[in-house]
This record gives sequence, structure tokens and C-alpha cells, in this order.
Amino acid sequence: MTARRVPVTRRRRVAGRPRGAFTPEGEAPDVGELVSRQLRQALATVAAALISLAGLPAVALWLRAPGAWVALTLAVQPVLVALAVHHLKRAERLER
Amino acid sequence: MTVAVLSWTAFVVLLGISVSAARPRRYSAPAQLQAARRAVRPWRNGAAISSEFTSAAVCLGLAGLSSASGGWHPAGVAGGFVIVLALVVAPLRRSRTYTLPDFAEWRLGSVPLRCLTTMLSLVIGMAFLVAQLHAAGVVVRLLTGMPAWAGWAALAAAGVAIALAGGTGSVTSVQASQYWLKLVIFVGVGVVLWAVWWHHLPSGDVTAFVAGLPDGLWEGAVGTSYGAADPSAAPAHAPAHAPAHAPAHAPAHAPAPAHAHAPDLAPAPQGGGDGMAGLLPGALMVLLACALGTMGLPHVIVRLHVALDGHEARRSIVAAQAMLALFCVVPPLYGVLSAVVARGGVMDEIVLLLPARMLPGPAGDLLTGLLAAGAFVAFLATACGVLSAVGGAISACVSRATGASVFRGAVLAVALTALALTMATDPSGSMPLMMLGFSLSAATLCPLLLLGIWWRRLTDAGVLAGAVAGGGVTAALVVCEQTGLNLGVPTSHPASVAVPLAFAVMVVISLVTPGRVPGGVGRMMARMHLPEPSERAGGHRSSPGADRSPSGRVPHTDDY
Repeated sequence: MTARRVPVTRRRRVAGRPRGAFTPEGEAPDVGELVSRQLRQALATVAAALISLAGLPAVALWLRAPGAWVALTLAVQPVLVALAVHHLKRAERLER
Repeated sequence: MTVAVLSWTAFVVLLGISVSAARPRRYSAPAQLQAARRAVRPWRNGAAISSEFTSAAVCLGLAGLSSASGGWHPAGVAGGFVIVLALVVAPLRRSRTYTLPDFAEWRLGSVPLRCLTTMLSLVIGMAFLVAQLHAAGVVVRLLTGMPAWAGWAALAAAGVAIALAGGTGSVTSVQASQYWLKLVIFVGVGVVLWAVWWHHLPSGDVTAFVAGLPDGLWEGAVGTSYGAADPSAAPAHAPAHAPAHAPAHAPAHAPAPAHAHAPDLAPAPQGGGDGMAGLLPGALMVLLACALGTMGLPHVIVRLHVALDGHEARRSIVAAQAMLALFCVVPPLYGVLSAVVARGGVMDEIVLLLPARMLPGPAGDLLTGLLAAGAFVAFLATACGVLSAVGGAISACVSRATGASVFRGAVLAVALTALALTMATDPSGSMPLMMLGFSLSAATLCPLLLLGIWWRRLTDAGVLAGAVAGGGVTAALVVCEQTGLNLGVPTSHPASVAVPLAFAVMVVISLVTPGRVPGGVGRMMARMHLPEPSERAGGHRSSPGADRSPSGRVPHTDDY
């Protein structure tokens, strides 16, 4: 009886977990893998965001233009929004 | 007096509009009261979230040009939203815990930790509330001549009324509508003022005008925006140079001619202060504190749970960030104009007095009234968001009984405490207070959230030690600064020491106490990281309410 049930589970695992198939009571087999993929993706985004933030004062310093930081804080906004939209798309694709 | 009457009329009208958007409903349990019954769509939720940040300082442009740390604040918060989106939003929404204390208790199974997190939320929320109350006091004192406490009282009363009217659900719709109101008012009045200025300026005068740009304007702005511990370090001795080729087009490009100064601007050989390069760490620390602190703000976390699921919560954050970026145009719009029109004087006061100065007569009064009402609405947005979030957290911690009266009592108590603190502090402390809120959040709640979501081996002992270390170091450094003991960057920006320390302590203590890793951590990770059953595929969403709260308390929001 148990022997008959095992192949079913295994076949589903191989086929990939369809969206919405996860059951809340048991840990799905591929959680660890999913988490590490999500984490890699998230860390890449965070690194990009931190680099662009840290670059702001550095660029302002390098430009030496008075008032450059006003323009820079405005200019970085679309960059960060684009980064967010990009991450949103990738994260949703990963979970599909 | 006309200004007073006009601004109060405008405020009452705006308040009426936004409260009528609230549609208060009757709730029977505080859980239902705190959380919206119906899911809020991403754009609406996003507007509500960004409404929180378009508050006091950001709104009036005082942040942009006049305060030491304000200059980088919008950029730091935008970065913070990206980090929240990447690392926090979806897992936190999927954990189905309503507040940070809920999350801490659910994830680590520790009641003391819950109380500590509640205390931290309270302190952070209080910093924001006091800043809003002070700003309201300044607006009222400037425009009506009434004492500042009238502004505090009005704001506190309105905030409590809205928070009690319907909990997070109504607060969300109030804030969403307030976002658009504020955007229209601030951009509209700003554009009118720029048009007036452009109209009155004979075209030939542009070059002369640009040449006469205030000497200390950009230099001072750059100096302070680097987070100089010593304001006098800003190079105020740069003489005005007539630029050779000033662009003679739109006045909105006023910052551009400043480039003409560039070759003449020596690398600022300040006497007692450090050079520009020496100020770089300060700016970086402001950015870091804002970026990491955003995720711990109690009124942001609450917003995630009115979203339908993890996907929608992510979309809400992206929408909020886009709208925030749109609003970031406002501070320069006013900051530049007020620096140009009214030289010298206190910047934040001038922004409010700008319309009356440029347009004497009823038109100026009308614009001032609109501006004041918009500012007041902004304070209200943050105040009632924080009140409702902190009140909810406290009522859940203090009493496990189900009853709306506990939530109401908590909201009232928080408002009264904030009023008392406002009386005890000075208005000039608003921006430092908000920065302290960000730093504290970055040093305590941020490591708890990040490690709790992504690291299986986190233990309650580790979190407790890390949060105490981070919070303690922040508090100690603030005390150092207040008593005049200067240790350089750490005292002016506590986050530089406290954040790494908190992370390190949390990780080390967790590794030392492996026996305390909560049971069922694998199940928790699965719940946080696996996508929910799809709404579209599964028809009606039917998650069991009981699994939301760990100790069998009333489930919060699952029956949409």
C-alpha cells in the first residue's frame, strides 16, 4: 500500500510543483532549493541597490558641483524604481 | 487673520474629504478592527504606504535644504523600499503574522521577545509621532499666531479620531486619498509660484539673477547634506562668481547654473571641520540607516497585511516606491525657490511664508492656506498610521482578551504619551528624532526580520542579545551626543556601529545556543517562502484562520 503511494509523490516532485499545489501542513520537498534561489535573486537586487546608494555621495563628491546632490537624489529615484520592477518580474517568474 | 481663517477652512474641507473616503464600519473584535476586512489593491495600498513618508519634513522641503540629514533621506528610503521588496515583503506577508511582535513570537516562540519587539515598535513610532506633532505646532504658530500646543492638540485629536473610526482599513483609504490630495496641492502651488516668479522676472534678468544666486546656498546645502557634525563646517566663504554662460531657459533648471561654480569651488579647506571627503562617511551612514531602517517601521509592516497575498504585497511596495519617487520632486521645487526668493532666515519657516511674500493679497493668502492644509494633512497621515499600528501592537501585547476597548485605550495612551513628550522636547529636534527612529529600527528590528526570514538557525536568545546590544549601543551613543561627548561619526550616526554589532551578536549567540532553535522551523520556512495557492486557480481563498496566530488567539485577517 505504501509502496504504491511513493511513486506518485516522486513523480510529482520530478514534474515540478505546480502553482498552488503546496500543502500548508507538510514541508514541500523543494523548499530549501526554492529558498536559496529566492535568496540569491534577492541578494543580487540588494547589492545593486546598495551600490547605487553608496555611489550617490561618492559621485557628488567627485563632481564637486554645488547642488549636484539635489540632482542626484532625484536621478537615483527612477533607477531604484526600475530595479524594483525588475526584481518584481524575476521573483514572480521564479514562483510561477 | 485671513490666512488663519483660510487655512483652517481648507484644512476642515480636506479633512472632510479624506474622512468621507474612510467609510467607517462597525467592528466587533479588535482583530477585525485593526485589519482591513477587504483586501486593498496594490495601487491603493501603495498610495497609503508612500503617504506615510510624505510627512512633515519631506513635505515642507525643510528636509531638502535645511537639515543635516534630510538631504539624503528620500534616496535612502527609496533604497530601503528596494531592500524591503527583495528580502522581506513576500515572506512576511506569507507568514500571516500581523505585526512585528506577532512575527517574533511566531518565528521564535518566545513571549519575552514579543514584549521587547513591542517596546521597540513603541519607541520608533513615538519618535515619528513627536516629530509630526512638533511640525504641526510650528505650522499653527507661524500661520495663525496661536500657541504651538493648539496644533499638537488638533493633530492628536484628529489622528485618534481616524484611528478609532475604523482601524487599518479606514486608515488605508484615508491615506491613499491623502496621497493624491497632497501631491496635487504641493505640486500645484509650487508650479503656480514658479510661474509667478517667472512672470515677474524680466527675461533679460535671468543672467543677473543667476549671478546673484545666494552665495551660501549650494555650498551650504552640500556641506550639510554630507551630514556635517558641525554645521559651521559648510564653506560659507565662497564668494559669488558670475557664471559665464548661464542657461537662460526654464527657471526650473535653476540648479543647473550652479555647475558654473564648479571650477572655482576649492575642496573646502574648512578650519575646524574635516574636508568634503571626511564628510562622506556621514552621508553613507544616513543612507544606510534609512535603507535598513525602513523595513522596521511599524506603520509600513502593517500595510503589508491588507494586501491579498504575497504577490499583491510585492506589487504594493513597488507602487509605493514609484509614487514616492514622484513626490520627491516637491522638496526641490520649494527649496530652490525659497532659497532664491527669500534669502537668509530660517528655511522651513520661509517655505510656508513664500506664497504670501510673492503674492501679497488674497491670492497669496489662499495659496498659503492650501499649503498649510496640505502640510497638516501630511502630518495627519503619518500620525494616524503610526497611532493605529503602535496601538494595535500594544493592545495585543498587554492583553490577550478580545475587545475593541483595549485597542482604543492603547491608541489613546500612545497619543497622550506623545503629547507629553512633545511638550518636553524642542521643535528643532524633529529631524534628529526621525533619524533616531530609523537608526534604532535598523539596529534592532532589521536584523530580526532578515535573519528570521532567511536563516534557519536563528534562536530567541540570539535575537534578544542582538536587539539589546543594537538598541543599547544606539541609546548610549545618543546620550553621548546629548552630553557633548564627541566620538566622531559613531556619535552623529549611531547606525554605523550599532547595525553591524547587532547582526554579529545575533548570529554568534544563535550559533552558541543551537538547542534553542524552535521546533518546526522547516514548516515555518515553507510557509514563508512557498507561494500561496493561487487566488485565480483556487477560487475563493480559504486559508484556515487558526494557523495565523501561534497561541490560538483570534485570527486576524483571513476571511476577506
